[in-house]
Amino acid sequence: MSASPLVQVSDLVVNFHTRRERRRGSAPNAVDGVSFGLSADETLAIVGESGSGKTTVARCVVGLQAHQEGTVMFDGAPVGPVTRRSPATRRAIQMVFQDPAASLNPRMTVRSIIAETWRTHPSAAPDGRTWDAAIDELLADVGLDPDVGTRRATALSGGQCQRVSIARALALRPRLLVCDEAVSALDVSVQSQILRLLAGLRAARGLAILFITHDLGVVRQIADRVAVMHRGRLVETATADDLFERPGHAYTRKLLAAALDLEGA
Amino acid sequence: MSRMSKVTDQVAAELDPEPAPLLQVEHLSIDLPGPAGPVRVVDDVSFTVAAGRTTGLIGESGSGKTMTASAIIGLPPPGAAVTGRLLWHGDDMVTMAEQDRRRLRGRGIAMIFQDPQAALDPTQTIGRQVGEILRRGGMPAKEVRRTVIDLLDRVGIPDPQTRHAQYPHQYSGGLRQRAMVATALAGSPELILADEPTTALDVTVQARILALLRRVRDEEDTAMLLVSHDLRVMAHVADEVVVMYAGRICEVGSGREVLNSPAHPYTRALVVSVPAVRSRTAIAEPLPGSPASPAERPSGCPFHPRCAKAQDRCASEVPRMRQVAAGRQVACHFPEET
Repeated sequence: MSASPLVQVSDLVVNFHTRRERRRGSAPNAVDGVSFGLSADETLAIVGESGSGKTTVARCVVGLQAHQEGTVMFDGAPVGPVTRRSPATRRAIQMVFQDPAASLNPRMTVRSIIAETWRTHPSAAPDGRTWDAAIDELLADVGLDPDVGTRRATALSGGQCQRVSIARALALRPRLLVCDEAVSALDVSVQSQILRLLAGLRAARGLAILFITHDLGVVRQIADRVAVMHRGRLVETATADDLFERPGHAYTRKLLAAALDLEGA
Repeated sequence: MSRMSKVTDQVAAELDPEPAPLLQVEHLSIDLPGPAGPVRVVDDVSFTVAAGRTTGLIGESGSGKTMTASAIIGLPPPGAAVTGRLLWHGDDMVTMAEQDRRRLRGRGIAMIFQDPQAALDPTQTIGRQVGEILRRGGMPAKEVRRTVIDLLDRVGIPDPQTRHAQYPHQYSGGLRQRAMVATALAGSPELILADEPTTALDVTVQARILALLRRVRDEEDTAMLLVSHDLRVMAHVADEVVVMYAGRICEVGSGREVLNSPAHPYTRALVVSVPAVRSRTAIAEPLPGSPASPAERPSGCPFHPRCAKAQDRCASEVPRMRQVAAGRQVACHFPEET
């Protein structure tokens, strides 16, 4: 691993306590002292069950969620909520959400969805050529025909929507892509298309990926390292091979034992 | 009531060596109104559900699996035109009087929905909802209470004496789904229809609910029609599977055989796209395109635009279901060797 990771999360604490709970100090934290690093061009998966805090961690990294304690360092500098981040940092960390249809504005065409990112971040806008050509190129990168550009999200399939979400993120030439259950809502025959796309983009662009999921099979296919969360805590972080072959924590073993496979049924 | 009919069935079985299957779906087609005329979302679907067996209905979005299930439970969406026959012990449910259908619902056929949170009434106690069908059948209140507590105990809800008086919000997702199973069992149905019963649940909870469903099949001798897109779930609970694509059936057979050696190229593509947990697999070679929509169903075999083995014939001629092995049927012009 390189000397300084792209993202370093240290002792992160997030809670959603009501005022009364805070006074009593009894309620658990949603994220309770989580630390991990993510180097450039690495794929780290955070796995856990619902309520384990994995999505909250992802939202802190993107800046959609403020944390109470600890630090999130990006490229060596601490970052807070997205409103207090520099435009350059905001550009560098992009997110792909779970529900492909809900994360795209149904009233906008695909072209305007992508162009909007450049109006927000003029520094990322393509110079020296027309935006149309740049959009065609982006659509091609995610495996979409140029004529998809004139359509609205409501006229697209789930897989196409997710490709548009990825194109929108790539439009800003990010260094980190945060995918929160980005393939969970897709049909299996489409899921492998998106996984291939993500793996290819990572290799071609040197993207770091933070991949949040509950699907251990998907994790095994695309992650370099895996962090297992349980009740707000990180119980184990290991390389994907180690985690699946030699799980160290009892909870990881329980999670692996419960996971179903097609084989051996 | 259904106990009675089970007894008469046994008598009938002794007289007649080939009893009719519990449920026979014959040439079922469903048309939904669309902006450009009716859309055939289920097209000429036939399969049977045997008593005491679990049949899995597999399909991706737009395959018509949920629509097929909704026709069987007798709750198709408004405006749907259902044709074909749905034979329940030989009686056609499509032409049956609404009154008789209603009697069947809950007692003959019960349903477990995907989202227990949405299917349970938040303002009623769990016990009241589980016992509703018993109360409506005229069972005295004391006996209802005792039966409900017994049901909750059977589906593995801890401390049913206290738990039956609680509300859905006091239950976790897994416990709510157990309560749904108890509700379904309350009418002693012969068939339980379960639509994605574990999709909304965490893996550890999912494993326990699947074990419960298997136990229900074995101990209560209840047949189950399980609707899911999750092949891993199917591999663990389905005795027989029916694979659907774009409103049509592409493959039918025993769950083990179909999922171990798929004969239809579509089933094969589904099977290889499931990532394994216990061994490292490469990301599957993806199928091109998206699942076909019934509104724009391709000519011939609906799968042909995505199929690597497709030839001219596949685009022009609809493949008929044909037997490739005992109990194994495939709708493909060029099926894989099994």
